[in-house]
Amino acid sequence: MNAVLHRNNVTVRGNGSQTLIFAHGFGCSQYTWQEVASAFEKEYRVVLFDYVGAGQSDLTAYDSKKYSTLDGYAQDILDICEVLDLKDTVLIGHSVSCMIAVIAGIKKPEYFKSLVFVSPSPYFFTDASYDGGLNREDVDGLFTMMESNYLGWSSMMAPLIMGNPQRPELGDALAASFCSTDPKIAKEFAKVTFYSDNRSFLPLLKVKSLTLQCLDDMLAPPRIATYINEHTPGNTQVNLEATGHCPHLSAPVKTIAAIRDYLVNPEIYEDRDLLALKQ
Amino acid sequence: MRTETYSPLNSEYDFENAPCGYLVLCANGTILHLNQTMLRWLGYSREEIVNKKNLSDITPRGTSLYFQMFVYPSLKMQGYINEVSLDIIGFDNSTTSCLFNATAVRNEDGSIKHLNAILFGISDRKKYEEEILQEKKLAETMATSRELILQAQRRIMAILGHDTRAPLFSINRIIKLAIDGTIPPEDVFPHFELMANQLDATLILIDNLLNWANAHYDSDAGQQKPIPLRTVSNDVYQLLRSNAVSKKLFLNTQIDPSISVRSNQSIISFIVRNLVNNAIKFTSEGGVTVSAEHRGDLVNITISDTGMGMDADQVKKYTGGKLDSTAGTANEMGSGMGLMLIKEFLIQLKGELQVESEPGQGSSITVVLPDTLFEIS
Repeated sequence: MNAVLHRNNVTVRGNGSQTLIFAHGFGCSQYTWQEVASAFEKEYRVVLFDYVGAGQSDLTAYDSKKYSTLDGYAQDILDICEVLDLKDTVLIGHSVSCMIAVIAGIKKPEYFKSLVFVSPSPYFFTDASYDGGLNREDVDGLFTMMESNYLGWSSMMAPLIMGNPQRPELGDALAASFCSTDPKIAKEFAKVTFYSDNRSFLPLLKVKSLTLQCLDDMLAPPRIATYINEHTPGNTQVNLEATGHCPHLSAPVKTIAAIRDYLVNPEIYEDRDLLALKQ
Repeated sequence: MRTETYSPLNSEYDFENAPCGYLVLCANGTILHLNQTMLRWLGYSREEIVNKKNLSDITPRGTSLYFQMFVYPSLKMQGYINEVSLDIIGFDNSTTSCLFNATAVRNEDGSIKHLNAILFGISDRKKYEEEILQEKKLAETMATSRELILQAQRRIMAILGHDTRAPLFSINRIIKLAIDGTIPPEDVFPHFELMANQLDATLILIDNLLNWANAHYDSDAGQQKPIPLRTVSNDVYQLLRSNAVSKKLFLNTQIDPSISVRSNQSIISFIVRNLVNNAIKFTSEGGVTVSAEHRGDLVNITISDTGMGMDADQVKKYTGGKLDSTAGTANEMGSGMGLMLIKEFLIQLKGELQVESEPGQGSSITVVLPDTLFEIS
């Protein structure tokens, strides 16, 4: 198996000339996309992967320095595109993956036809002209929670769970541990996720994009989707009737429908926006 | 003696007052039902909570983030979550530390109908765990700093052994040769000068070492009476005057009089003394200048000389701490330990060395230190 495909535990499924890449958010693994991704397998080629440190990625490939910025993670997506010889893909990212997608899209626009942001935020904190919704105390509280909760992770279980995607007998362990991550890596990923300020990247993006926004999401409130829309060329925004930060889990049917509409007719939402303005 | 009988038929288990909290939640965290124990922990009435409050209203915001990122996805994907350690915040801001277990009850389409949760109070155990966690963190930090100190000590011991052995060996040899008559008595005296020269470098080495050890003892001694940095520099000059005089070098000071050293005085004096000593050693004409300025939140102390300077390669080795000791312009000996100890100290003081040097044009070594070590009047 190719080193990159092994490193990121890349899964390729489905048929079709158009490829969709699903990028999971901070905390869990590609399994979070299972339900949504499988809905597209009939008509599209679907690529799923785990970031290094998450799911069943190769933990030995984890490099604190490389992954101390989102660039390291973006590079992994570009590596996957290169190895699979992908061009004009649609990259669908959740949470922190939206900004990883922006960075990847700026670096290699030819790899991407469009990007889909599910619950995006370019910056979680607040300054004079921007309200990211969180403060240091909130994020410190999250780090404390992560420190006192290892979610079934122990160094004894780790070698069993990680890096054994080819062993189906581990299926139950996998299902029960898809959110388990080495606490050290989880903490470093959390730091990159929360402390990165990616606002300056948005105007540089030349790939068009769609934002899927939930009604109440404490990590990505609706005003942030508006900010992204105003600062990102070619961005359209759709509000999903879903709550929380993970509409692909809490409202998969609506999420699938919104992505499908955009894939079939990328202008559909722009027209709708125009209609709304005219009314 | 009267005996009680327990019959499940007429005595259902009292879930309302069970020694744990019961909670039924919507998929988004809205509280649908809770038992008396839970209400007691929270201090709200049932009406104030049911269908009105979300789990995020009775937990810290960091916990809500954690639930959004880990717990709700786990419940959706695997149908259960066990042993989440969290705090529940009551009406009066009191906290109850709990372990949270939950299972998902699903609709036919696989979506979550509601969540059944149970919470065990673990406040005492939590305090104990926090103590263990603190101890563990403390032990880790101490182990790291102990390892650093050990590494430094091993390097110092190696240099010490190496650099004291050579002069002691040759002195020992001269004495033995004198005893067995190989060196005739009338020739013994001239050898004394040779022996004394060899001991000079060794004595400086031992002095430095003593300084270093003492500085380690008193570096934590807290607030000291501030000493003007000019005084520190002048004291150093006093000590090294004879070396400079014998080479006809000037010793100049350009130090902002408002800068005083507040803490770690012996270390800062040690650093200046060793750098001035080096400057004298590698200068045959001109002299040495110590200057200092306060810039931003830093104090820069610069020791510049008009000596032989260093090329790019030597500068690189100097800053990397890999430059071997070489004899000075008047063949002064050194051990290379001064610079090494300076580097050790700078790690301790969170400072750094900046070097500017040109072969034949002299060197300029700047010690950059945080201004918290100083008092600026």
